[in-house]
Amino acid sequence: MVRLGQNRREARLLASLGLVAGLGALVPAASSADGSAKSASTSSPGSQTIGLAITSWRWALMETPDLKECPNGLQPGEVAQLKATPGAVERIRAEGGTFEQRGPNGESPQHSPDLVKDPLPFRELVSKAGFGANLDGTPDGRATARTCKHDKFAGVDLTQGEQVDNQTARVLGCVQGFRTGGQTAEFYSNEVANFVVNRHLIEVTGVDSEVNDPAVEVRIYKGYDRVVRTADGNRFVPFLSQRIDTRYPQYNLKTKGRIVNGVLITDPISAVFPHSSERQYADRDMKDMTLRLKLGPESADGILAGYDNWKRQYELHSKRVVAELDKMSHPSIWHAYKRYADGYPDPKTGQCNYISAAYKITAVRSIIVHPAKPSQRIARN
Amino acid sequence: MKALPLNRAAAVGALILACLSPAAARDAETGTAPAHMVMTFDGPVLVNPAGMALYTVANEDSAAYHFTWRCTNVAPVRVRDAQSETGDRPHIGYKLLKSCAAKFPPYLADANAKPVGDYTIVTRPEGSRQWAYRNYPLYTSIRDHKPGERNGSYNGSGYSARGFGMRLAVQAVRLPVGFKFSRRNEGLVLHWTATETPLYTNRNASRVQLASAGGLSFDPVLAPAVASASGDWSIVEAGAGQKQYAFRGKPLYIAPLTIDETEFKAAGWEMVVVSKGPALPSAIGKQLSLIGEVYTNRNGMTLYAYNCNASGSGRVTVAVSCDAAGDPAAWMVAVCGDGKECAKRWRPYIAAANAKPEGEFSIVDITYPMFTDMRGALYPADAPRVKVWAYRDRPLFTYHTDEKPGDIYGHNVSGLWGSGFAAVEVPGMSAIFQP
Repeated sequence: MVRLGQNRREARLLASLGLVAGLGALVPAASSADGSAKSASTSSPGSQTIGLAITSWRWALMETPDLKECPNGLQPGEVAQLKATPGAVERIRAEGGTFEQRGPNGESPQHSPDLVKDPLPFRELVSKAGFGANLDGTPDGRATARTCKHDKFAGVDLTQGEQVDNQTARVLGCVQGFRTGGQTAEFYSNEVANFVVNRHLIEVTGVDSEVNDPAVEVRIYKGYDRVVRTADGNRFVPFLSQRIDTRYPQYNLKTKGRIVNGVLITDPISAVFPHSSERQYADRDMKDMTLRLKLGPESADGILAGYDNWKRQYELHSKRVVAELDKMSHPSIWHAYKRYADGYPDPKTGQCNYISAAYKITAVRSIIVHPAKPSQRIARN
Repeated sequence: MKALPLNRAAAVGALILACLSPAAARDAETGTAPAHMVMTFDGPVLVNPAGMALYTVANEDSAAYHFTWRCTNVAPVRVRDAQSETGDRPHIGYKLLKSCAAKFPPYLADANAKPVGDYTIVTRPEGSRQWAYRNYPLYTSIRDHKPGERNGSYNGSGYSARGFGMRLAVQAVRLPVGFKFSRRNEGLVLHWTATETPLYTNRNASRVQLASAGGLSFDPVLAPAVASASGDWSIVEAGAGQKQYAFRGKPLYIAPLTIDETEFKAAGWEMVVVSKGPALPSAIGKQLSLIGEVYTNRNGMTLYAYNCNASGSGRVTVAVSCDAAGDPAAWMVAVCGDGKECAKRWRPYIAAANAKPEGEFSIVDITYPMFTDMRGALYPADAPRVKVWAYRDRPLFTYHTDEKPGDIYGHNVSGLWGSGFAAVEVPGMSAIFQP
């Protein structure tokens, strides 16, 4: 396997550990497997590249220890719904099945959300502030040609002072599984780091300055290599090479962006991401996807926002068997998605097919390798 | 499914006879053993004299101190539901569930049969005498309809495979350390465990050489100094005083760490195929998806099989399959609702009138919708019938939310542990590994 850029990578690593001084944080233009990358010392302005590999991906929810945002508590799970359904426990005792078969004929609620009823009410997130991005461009969430009327959050963190959209937070904000420590949230975030299906690479080219640059190009790819944790497990080793998995060109994305006060902001684009969580494999289908990433010397963190195809989103986390640890009431979540969906209305029905969403992501600085030959693209290391 | 010609299989088997355990080889030679080995693309599989594949159950070791029968004549009717704390209860659709022994009939010994070599006889709980190989009781599968089929061991993947413990009975084969067989699209190939990659020979190499072609270096598989020739295996000089393994006279090499063969096939390098893989019908295609290559219909859409396994009592007994005609429909109801809705979501891949079975793909007759009574049986006799493609005796379906080739939205759609639909993956072509 060709290993170019290794010396630079080592230099970066040494620099990151404070062992080499005076090395800029930027990495030269994307390394390629045929060795055509320019050296750092000869790079001209605007030719610098920032490579990133995403290491965690979480729902951007407002979470307080005393559940202020969930005044009615967290959403009950399927077992509670079963027990609250008149005659359901007696029926499965007589006819068989587990708590998952609480439909009138033993249907699992996650697969028949229009048929199975939740007797316990849905618990919505209540918060004036929230993470997200202003996806619809309005200050008040009024209906537009491509959006449905909705409420806004006052942006926090990187979008402080903006009115932002994140209807997904209203759907999932009080569901244990999607909050920090929840099964789905933790499994997914871990699988983003540990599972190659979820390797997302971001390549920012044409960078003059990491602090302020009015015009950069941003490409996103599916990657092929692992990210490596530091010995204490708390961070990721920066500046490792990350090959693009060129078997999957459908995940190649391209947009423009800018860097403002050290924050990368990208123009919205339609995006498809590979997704794997708890053996559920599918494409994440987003519209108006945009990044707000605070760039650090070894890493980056911030928000990935956009409109998610809500039926696909529901499917991603509901097609497997039910895990009670998640405390999901699937029919409630299904109907909440439908109710809160705020993007891309169906021209006939007016029902929005997409829902605004925001995710907290972290990434580690990496060297993006563009394999020149098929064997380099998929060789094991 | 096309039967594997027994005379050819026997010839292949004879090639590696010297690799077998001495007792097995002796028994096979004398013809006294109740089963013999057939080399297949699933490995060196044991078959009975009628040529039907034999199976064993994981952990059903009759010589174990705490031996417990895992494949019994009793249907698994109870299920634990610890998460709900509402007590144990019957499996859904329990009235129609069958026993493991009904799905995998025990391979019974004649009244006057005696143990021979690795084959012993164990007495089942109901008193019948059953052949065992190396202490593991042997079974046949009702999914195998003719010699050469090995449908009983296929069980999909993911959640639907949970708890399934039936596996093909495989003849013990001695391989040098570091080698194993693996199933790939090409068939059964020789595999190098250190790199987890297939091994190669070069059809142009008539003598030992340190090979290099097209800028790609192939490393010889070095043999220890004490290695000696045995059966298909021989030792050749690799130069510099080193020895190299050869298989069927061809020196073995480890390919560059790549799984893309297009670059070096032209230079004469080829995988060591021990038993060639099955052919594909023209109606079946292959497509790269997120999980790797999957089988598709003519339009490139992913094909799925329904698998259902009712877990055994307390997980002591083996899970019993519940996805065939006559099994309870209730498990499919859990996944997709009533018969009409299930038929809308999961669409059988209809076979053309002139379609012919090929390799692992057959044509089966099922009902569509797959059931009409939610408390009744799958594929009931009195419903409209269609002829559909099947993989290893499992009817194949497409999924309603897949929009384009490569989509796998229907993969691992599960309603209960042990039950659901899974994409049919091309063997050995998984993309889900961490390089």
